[in-house]
Amino acid sequence: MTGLDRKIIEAIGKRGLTPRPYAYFLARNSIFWTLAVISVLLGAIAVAVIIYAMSDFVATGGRGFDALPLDDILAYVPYVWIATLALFMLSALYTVRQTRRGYRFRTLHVVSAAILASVVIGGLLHLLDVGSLTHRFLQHRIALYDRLSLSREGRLNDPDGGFLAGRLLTVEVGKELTLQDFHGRVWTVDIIGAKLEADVIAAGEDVAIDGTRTGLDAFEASSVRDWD
Amino acid sequence: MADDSPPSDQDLVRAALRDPNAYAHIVRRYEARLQRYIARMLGRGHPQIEDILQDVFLKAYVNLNDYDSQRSFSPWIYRIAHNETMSLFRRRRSMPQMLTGEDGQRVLDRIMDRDATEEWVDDARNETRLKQALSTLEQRYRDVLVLRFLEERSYDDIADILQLPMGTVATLVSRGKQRLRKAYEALDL
Repeated sequence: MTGLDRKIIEAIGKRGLTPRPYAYFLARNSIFWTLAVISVLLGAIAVAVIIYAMSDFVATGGRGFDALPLDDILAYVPYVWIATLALFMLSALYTVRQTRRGYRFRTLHVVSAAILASVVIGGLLHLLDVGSLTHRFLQHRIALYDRLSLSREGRLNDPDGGFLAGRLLTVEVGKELTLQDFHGRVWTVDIIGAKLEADVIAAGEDVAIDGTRTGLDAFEASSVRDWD
Repeated sequence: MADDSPPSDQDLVRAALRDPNAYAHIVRRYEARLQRYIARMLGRGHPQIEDILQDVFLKAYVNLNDYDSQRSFSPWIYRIAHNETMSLFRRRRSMPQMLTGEDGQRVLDRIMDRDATEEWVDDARNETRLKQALSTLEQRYRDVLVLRFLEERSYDDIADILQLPMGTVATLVSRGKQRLRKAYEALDL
């Protein structure tokens, strides 16, 4: 050893350098793959909520739409969750890029695979009701979320606009219901002459009601539907 | 009968992980190549070439376990050299020099499939033109052109060195060639 090789070996000895253990690199790589998987799973939850929100749009038959429904349709688009999905897909891309061989994958391929995985898993989560559970969980705990998400509960709890929704407290078949809306207010609802479209109308069930407000806490129903 | 073939890079890495002195073999094997590569990025005669080279070998030693022995060692250590050189530019907030006339000429020869002994190679006006043309190229194009046409690396190796998808490397090489040719020819007008 005479030249640079000697200098390097001396520097290694002088500075006490040793190769980082293999486990360090393995752990680093595993952490990034785990974060990528978590990003996809969080993206899947976002997809489940998007499906829930869109199925709500179908289920309610565009209730409250006027002759020019574009603004109503746009109001139903779950922007918050679409933005959340995009964020997690970017996070998946970034973390995959940090893995040992992640740079080899093209951006389009990584993002497409992450979206596809999120959509498939999100579809399954929707079947397990994860979308609606997540939505309600956030809605009851984060006021900002409730405002941003233009929630179904918010949109369908508009007695002056002809919509009322909530949980049934008592039922007098063919006559009257008492219902607690999603803000906790109790209503007496006249159902004489109302079209009953819900499968089960019983205490403890959640329903959506169309009709007219007739008093401070009174409502006259024209139809009663299942909430879900 | 003893095998006289030189030890593979993988053998040397394994040996270096057991005994730091064995790392000298790797240093000797790659010293000239990496020095030339760093000089191509920094510009020949740059005072920090040797410092960077030392840093590259020390960094490679510390990260030796990160090397995937299923793949070639050379792109792995070139990647460290590339990153170390680029980080020097980032620290100094400057850009690498354009390729020097001779290297740049070689890139252009290979891109244009010309014979390097042609008369125009020695033409000082052409060299100036080439320098001007190269200076118009973005760094990413210069990086791939150097690796492809001077270091004579495969697309696969370039992908590993620059940490890019192989398709992106192919695109950069193709566009880099076009842009250099266009810039060179435009200067003729």
